[in-house]
Amino acid sequence: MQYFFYVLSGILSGILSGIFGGMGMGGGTLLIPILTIFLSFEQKLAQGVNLFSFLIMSIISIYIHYKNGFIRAQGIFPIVVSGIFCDFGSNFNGCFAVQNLKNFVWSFSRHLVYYRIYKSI
Amino acid sequence: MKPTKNRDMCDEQGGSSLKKIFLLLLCGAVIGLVNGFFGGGGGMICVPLLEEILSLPEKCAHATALVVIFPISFVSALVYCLSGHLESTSFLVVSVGVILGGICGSFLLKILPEKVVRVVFVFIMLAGGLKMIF
Repeated sequence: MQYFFYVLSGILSGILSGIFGGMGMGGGTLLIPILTIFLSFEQKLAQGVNLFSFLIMSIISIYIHYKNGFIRAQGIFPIVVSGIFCDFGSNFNGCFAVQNLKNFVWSFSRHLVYYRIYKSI
Repeated sequence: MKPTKNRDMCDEQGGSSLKKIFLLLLCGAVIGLVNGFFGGGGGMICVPLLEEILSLPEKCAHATALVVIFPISFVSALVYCLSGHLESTSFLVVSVGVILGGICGSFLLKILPEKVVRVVFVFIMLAGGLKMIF
């Protein structure tokens, strides 16, 4: 019975974050806290599970978005190249201050909200 | 099935100056760092940057962010797998849900009005940011 609830809650949390992930809104932002807080996953395990499930989902999602004509990949090559490089590096760099990056993400999202409100006025 | 008329509104921009390429490289670096350290969330940063730098419409930016983040996540996933941060049962259970949700979400992006997408995204962005400081 406990196993049943484990499977059910896993699938439900997947669906919830998948909906946002499929819309390109950062499903991992939701999935990782759900897995760690409610299903008591270890942080690193939650991150690994998120990345792998995202990979499979995004293949299907990208296909659907392509069919709907929303993909416009022209000019994204530089982002991908430096993204892969920094991503790879970040996994091996133990001395980088993670707190700085957290502060950056907070400030980025805060300013985005200000900007959006400013633009809509 | 051919791509529908939405493609037209995504095909307006062309040409890339040196400044733009530099900006794109910088964005990629930030996205890569965030994705590598937090194991996700890079796409969230990617959407507004794509909108501003490549002047993509809202929905195109969301869809294209998935294309940008896919190869970056692939590298992350490989490293996480090699360092043993993956467990088959939990992965299978969660990914079934994520795939089902992802299909719903992909269709939702087409159906939902742009304004709703914008507001929902701002809230998720704010929640993601708040999570970082608590």
